[in-house]
Amino acid sequence: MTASRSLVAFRRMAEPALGVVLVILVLLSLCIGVYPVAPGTVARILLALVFPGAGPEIPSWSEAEQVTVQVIRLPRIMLALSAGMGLGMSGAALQGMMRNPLVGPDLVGVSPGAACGGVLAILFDWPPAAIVTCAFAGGVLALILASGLARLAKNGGVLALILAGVIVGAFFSAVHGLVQYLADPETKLPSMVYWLMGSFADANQRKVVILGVPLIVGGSLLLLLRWRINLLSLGDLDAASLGIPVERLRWLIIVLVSLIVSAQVSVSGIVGWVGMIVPHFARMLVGPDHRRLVPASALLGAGFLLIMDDLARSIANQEIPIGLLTAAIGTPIFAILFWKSQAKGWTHE
Amino acid sequence: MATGQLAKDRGPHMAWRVLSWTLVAMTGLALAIALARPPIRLAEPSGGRQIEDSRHRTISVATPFPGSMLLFPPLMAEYFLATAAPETVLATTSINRASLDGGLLDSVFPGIGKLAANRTFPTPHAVNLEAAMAARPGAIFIMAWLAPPLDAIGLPTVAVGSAPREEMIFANAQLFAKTAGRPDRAATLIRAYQQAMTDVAGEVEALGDKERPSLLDLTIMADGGIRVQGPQSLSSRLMARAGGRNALTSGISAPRLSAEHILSLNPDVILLAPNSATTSAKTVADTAPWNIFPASRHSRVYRQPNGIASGLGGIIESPLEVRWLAELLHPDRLAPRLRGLMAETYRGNLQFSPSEDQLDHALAIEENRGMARYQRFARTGTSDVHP
Repeated sequence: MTASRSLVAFRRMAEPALGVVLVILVLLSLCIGVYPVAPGTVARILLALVFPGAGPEIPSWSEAEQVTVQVIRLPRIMLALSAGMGLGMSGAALQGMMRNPLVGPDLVGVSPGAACGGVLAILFDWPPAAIVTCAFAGGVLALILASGLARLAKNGGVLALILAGVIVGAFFSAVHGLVQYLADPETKLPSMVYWLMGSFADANQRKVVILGVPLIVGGSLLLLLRWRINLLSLGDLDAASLGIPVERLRWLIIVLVSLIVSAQVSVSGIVGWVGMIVPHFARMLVGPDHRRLVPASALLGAGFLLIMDDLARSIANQEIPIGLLTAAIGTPIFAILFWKSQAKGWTHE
Repeated sequence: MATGQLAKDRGPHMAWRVLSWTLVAMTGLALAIALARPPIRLAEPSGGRQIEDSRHRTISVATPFPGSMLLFPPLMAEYFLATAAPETVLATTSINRASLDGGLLDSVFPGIGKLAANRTFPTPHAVNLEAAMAARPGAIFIMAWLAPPLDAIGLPTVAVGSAPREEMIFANAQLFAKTAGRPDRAATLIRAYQQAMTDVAGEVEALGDKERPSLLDLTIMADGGIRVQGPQSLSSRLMARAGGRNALTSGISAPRLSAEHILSLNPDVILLAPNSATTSAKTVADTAPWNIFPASRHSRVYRQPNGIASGLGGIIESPLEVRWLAELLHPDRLAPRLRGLMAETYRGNLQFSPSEDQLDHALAIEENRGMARYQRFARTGTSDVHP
């Protein structure tokens, strides 16, 4: 009884604690980077940005230091946070909805669609803004195609949508493979490969908005739906008997998740594993209740991706593609989780 | 009782939740406000030289010139040749440094070897903005589509062209030389380039289509795949200047082709790129499936010359490549002058007098041993002896 109560207490404390840890991580990240800026200077620059009138008339920091904090690090941190939040909560929602812990946010081939749009824009030498636009359009197109294909199936429901997603994803993968094959091997091909491996190196205000709007819309709705996801995770019959429109709710969740993921891929390339592994950790901390799990996954995803991006931009003169880091670190973690869970089976408890 | 305990537990939990979420919300709000401020840029150097890059964008370059970062595919040699100022290179990419391995540029400009490892970026495709800023460059040369993030923070970013055209060679040479403070040098090199091309054209321009051999310029990759220079490539243009024609008349810039496809094109001459996995022309000509090609049977497979910069064409090397090819394709029309011309070009443009061994290396004599008429480029041979 006491053990159970302390577990409940821990779970209640854990979710806000994740928020506090995230705040600390953000402040630390602002001080980390290849260009040396002292933490005190970072704090003064931030204060001057938040309260413009409160700072000294002549700044005590250099122009380069302000560019580093305001133009390079701040948008990048915000973008990594947003991407991590989006992927984390999307993964948690989908895993709950599908009652399958191996599901990731890229359920209906949105990532290959977005990747295809992005590499096409690189092939035609279009500017970075067009790469983002094309990638987002590619992701949405993949979603529309998968939905259209699923509707052709009689009584197919969500299973048909997932199968359609596999088909659409395979098609877009083939197209972006073909585009890479046709690309100039000395100039375009490396650009495509690096873009596909994921990076927040080109973060700016516009990209934060491009990801932020779908995240705020999609994320808010997912948060509002989180108790219904609890019901979905009981199984279709139970959920339906409790008055939940199971099919409609599943479609809605998939559309919201796909919007978030296509926006994420469009601004930062493909960042794998976050949406799949983060919900597992969040589940360990706050338990299987999606009312806590979804926000906890968002916070944990944001923190995880922020740390990965700090590594990507700070351990060398070169940007390390963040998709490689998340995969390199994500796969062993997932292997350990898999190994540990074998004894008791994949459960949500 | 239980309800009372639960309520007692909830008190501190609720306070903790309120406090922590307030902290998160305040931080989020502060970051959002900071992010919404108009971004600032590094100030342009006052009184600097004005450079117009390939995007027709004007960049102000500080004087005295702090140095260049060369962040683009292997054209580093071109910067050295166009400026003859290796001391102005602050940083580069690994691929650029590697492109110089085995060439003669280290002998011409010993300063190249002194580029610090921490100033070498593995690739131009993922530049760390803070690292670029920390290097304090006077100019960053990079491909146009990779420039915007650097532009955004106000770094002096000079977009170079990468289209495979001679005009681009001239434009890049002018950009490099002007940025390094040597605009006259580019003009001199461009005049010499055009004169050399005119000299070859005078020998071959009257040739009819049937007198122009068909060629394929191919790279054998490490996995055995074959990439061929397409009709829009610079190589194709240089073939035409040398009195030949590209056997590949349609398709993309550098497609991968099968041996069967190449056989169907049936080129008279096969050119091997210097960065091919197989370097010896004879090895290729004698090995299946290449040995069934008419070009192989006539020993008309040639490894392209290394030149001074490991086979990279450009403002100094392309006219020499064209002369090399014209002499091979039309040995009866063109006197064997390349070896002397090469030494003369390096002496005149780079104040570098190559030894006979260095000329052998530049002309890839060893790699072409046994190939038809290649003896004409050897140090002692002037005759067109078929092996």
